[in-house]
Amino acid sequence: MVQSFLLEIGCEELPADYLPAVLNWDEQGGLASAARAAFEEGGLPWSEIRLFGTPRRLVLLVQGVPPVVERTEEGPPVQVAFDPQGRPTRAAESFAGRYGVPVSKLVRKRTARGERLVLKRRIPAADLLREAIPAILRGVPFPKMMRWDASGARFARPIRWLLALYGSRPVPCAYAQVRGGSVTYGSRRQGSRPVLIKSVPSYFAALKRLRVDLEEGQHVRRTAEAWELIPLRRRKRERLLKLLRAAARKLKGRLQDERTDEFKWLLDTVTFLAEEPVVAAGSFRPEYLALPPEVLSTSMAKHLKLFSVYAADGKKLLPKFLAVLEGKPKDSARVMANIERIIEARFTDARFFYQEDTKGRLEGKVPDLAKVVFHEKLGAVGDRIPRLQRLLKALAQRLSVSDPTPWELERAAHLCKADLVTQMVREFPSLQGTIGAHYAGHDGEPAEVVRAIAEQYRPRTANDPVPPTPLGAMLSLADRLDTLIGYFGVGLKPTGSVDPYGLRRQALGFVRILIEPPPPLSFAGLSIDRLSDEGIQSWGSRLKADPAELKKDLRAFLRERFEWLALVAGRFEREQAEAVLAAGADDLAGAWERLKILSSFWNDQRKKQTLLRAAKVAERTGRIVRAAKETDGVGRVDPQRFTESSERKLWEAWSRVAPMIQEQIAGGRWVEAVEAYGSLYPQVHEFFEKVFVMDENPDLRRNRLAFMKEIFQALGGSFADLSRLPLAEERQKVGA
Amino acid sequence: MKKRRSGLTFQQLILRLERFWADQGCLIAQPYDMEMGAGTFHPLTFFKALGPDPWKVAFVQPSRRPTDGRYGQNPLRAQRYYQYQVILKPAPADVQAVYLKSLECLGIDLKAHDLRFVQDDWESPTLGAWGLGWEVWLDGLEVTQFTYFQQVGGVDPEVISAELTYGLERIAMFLQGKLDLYALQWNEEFTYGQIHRRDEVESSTYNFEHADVRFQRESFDRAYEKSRELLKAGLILPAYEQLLKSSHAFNLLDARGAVSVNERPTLIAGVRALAKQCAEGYLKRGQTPRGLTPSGS
Repeated sequence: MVQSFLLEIGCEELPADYLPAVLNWDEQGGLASAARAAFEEGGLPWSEIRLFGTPRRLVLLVQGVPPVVERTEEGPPVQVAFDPQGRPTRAAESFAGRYGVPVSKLVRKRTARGERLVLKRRIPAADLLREAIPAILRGVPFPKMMRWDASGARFARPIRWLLALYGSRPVPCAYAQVRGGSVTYGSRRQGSRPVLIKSVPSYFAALKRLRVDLEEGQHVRRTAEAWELIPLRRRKRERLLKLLRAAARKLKGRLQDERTDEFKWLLDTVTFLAEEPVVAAGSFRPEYLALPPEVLSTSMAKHLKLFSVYAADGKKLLPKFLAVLEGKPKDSARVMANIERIIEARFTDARFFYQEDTKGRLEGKVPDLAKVVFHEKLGAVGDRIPRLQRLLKALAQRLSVSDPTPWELERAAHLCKADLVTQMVREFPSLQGTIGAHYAGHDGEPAEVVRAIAEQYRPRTANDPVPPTPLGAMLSLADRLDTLIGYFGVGLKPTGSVDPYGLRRQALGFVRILIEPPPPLSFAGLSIDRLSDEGIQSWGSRLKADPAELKKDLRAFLRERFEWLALVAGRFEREQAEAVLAAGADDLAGAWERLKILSSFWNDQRKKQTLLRAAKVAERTGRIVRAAKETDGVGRVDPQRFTESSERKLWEAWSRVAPMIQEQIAGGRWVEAVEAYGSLYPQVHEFFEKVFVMDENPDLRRNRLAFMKEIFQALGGSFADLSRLPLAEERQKVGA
Repeated sequence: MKKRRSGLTFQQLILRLERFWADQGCLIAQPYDMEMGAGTFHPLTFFKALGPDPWKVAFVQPSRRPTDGRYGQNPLRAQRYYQYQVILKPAPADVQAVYLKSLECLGIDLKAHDLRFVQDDWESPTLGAWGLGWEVWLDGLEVTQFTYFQQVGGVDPEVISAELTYGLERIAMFLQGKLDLYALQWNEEFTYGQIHRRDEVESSTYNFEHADVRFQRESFDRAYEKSRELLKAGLILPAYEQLLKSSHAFNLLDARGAVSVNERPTLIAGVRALAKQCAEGYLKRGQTPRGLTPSGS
């Protein structure tokens, strides 16, 4: 009968930030992968893997483990195993000896490597589990690992106990200087009381009695072919969130925006900072509300892991907070009073910074940026200001934008980094931009500039919205482009998974702003290449890379981000993204527009037929253009050189349709353009039946290629290379 | 001065810790007589964490951090304060439990409070040292830094030490229920402020306004050069003391805003290289069974 295997890894407090990954909340790797790999290695079958955790324990539950595993060990080939007299040789004896059995227990078996002696073994699962445990522990990845005893074993924090059970039997095992047993320990609040566990099911009941609240990790189920993830349920986190919401309501308020990264981080953190979480409310003196609310909430969140409470409208901060405590203390009021005193000290500090910072105007700090290093190889942050100004000016000119005004652009770039030398940002680096905006507002800077300063780092993460104002979006674009050019220009491109400067995130944000511009702004038609030229020039001689190489790398880098967004965020088909990028990957905003149109065609049955006809034209013309290596410099089409009637016929049709298509494209009437293009199909078809493009006569050949290229490029160079769409499958479906 | 109704005075707190750790078998050592940023710089920590020999020590170390000066105005921060440092090598398996017992011996009822071990990865770039561990929070107040050394002087130690650094003022504030470190009772007669506030104002003024940049730069360079010379001569502790001098000169330059961001990594790397050579020199010479004897006797 199959049974469950339970492993509890008792640790000194694991970093709260590590647990979501170890429990496989968002990703692969983690404990589930370590367990899967170890089970595979040991040849141990399983049906389901479940993960649980708290700061002091990681729990692995593997279900469906049979008590005995049959395994065939391959020995020496039969001709080597016996001498001519038929007596076993040393090879046979040493193989049998390795498993402690007589040679008579070995049997002959035909294998892929000839007939061999084999041993059929029945291995108790407990033996295999004992070996799997160290493999599991070694396999759990952490961002940082440590040694703690003479064994040299490594883990995130010291392992202090191991509880390993198979059904109701303890599995003897050892790791580091810890021996496995059948004892678990209660939470610190319960005095870390030892409790004997007799079976796997009783473990979970015992933890409940000990008031240890386990959070769930990813569960994995084995299927016939592979394995699948069971939808993740973070019950402890959910419960805690409900408790927090209820507590906020009781204070006649609500929690801060639950969608922000700060909130999510804080909730994850407190979930993994307590084995037995309890929510309690406290308050601070209302006079501190005069400080920027972000300062108060960040100070409470980052320094003390406390939740801010907002008025019911969600905007105004209340002088209250919520704490998640480890168990209910004997004297909650006293604990909260202590926490309130620390808040008081922290806020006094913050007020001191605010007063110091606002003694002068924000612009007075700009000169100090000359002393702030952007990167060792890239000079000071102060050097960036004129570059950002130049990029913004170029951007505004290319977009023909007069709002924001040139003065606003210049002002925003001038002030945007000044908060980096304020005491407040030194204390709360995550508030860069936010603090600058507060101080700029305090100084009476124009509202647009203030907003742009606040928005310049957006989107900070994948879920963060792009800047909602045109000036903010432009500033963020300029900031990112300048950064990318700088790092690429001194050879600091990310490689593989190594991206220490977060350039992928920068580039992803850059592309997102391009494709989700704040109205009325649109970046369609903007050449990134030309803008990059401006940026590269603004760096002067500091960059080491060849400008053409740099742009090539940058283009490829941005293109990858575009493709990622198209596939993951936009849920477009890969072929569609490739098709529009083949028609132009420089104007990424335009490419995104074209991708949306292409996708809408594909998803509309009637338009799809039109599209498929056009795609066939593109496919035939495109194929020959690609196959011929000499299409560059084939020159213009000369109708005088046509010799066949089919080619004249096509030329006639094309001459009629081409100007229309051009006009339709210019007017953005894509449906009509695609329709007109597709209308050429009969003539194109006939052309390819009758005319041999690759004629021996080079003049004829080049002229025909030039013709094909012209037709192909009409859409393939402006809209999408339709020949990249998966036509073969579609042809079968529609019977074309 | 009126007597507090509860909580240990600052000096009682130190006495209790001395007693507790002496009972645990620690050598009770004395503060080092040079400026240093933390107890980790004490030779009885830095050197003794290296090599195979077991070691248990506890001591108070006044710690100087010029940039933390607040002219005596900040209730939590000062440019000079006291750490109580304990080194347990090898780190015993029940080190957390022993530490919690030390808190109880200070009269802290752990059942009545919220105690957490919150991740904190400690690093001293100048000493080429880092470790993993926690800040210990008592009702949200960070009272101790708890670290398992993973590297010291650029060397992976053979035996892992646990380093417990109690923030004495923080714990006293907790025990006495005071928000302001200067309001702490040092003993029944004097407050911490009476002993140190004036010094704090003057020292902050010196650190931020009067410390001579040229002189400090020269001190940094000279101590650095001297240290290298002494290392060549095989005089490890004197070389290390010069390192301490250059490290303090660096901190003063920093407080004067005289370290440009460009040169910061270079200067730190220089001191770190000295620390590494000191560590290696110490290990090479470590034949003496009792290891380092700072008195030189």
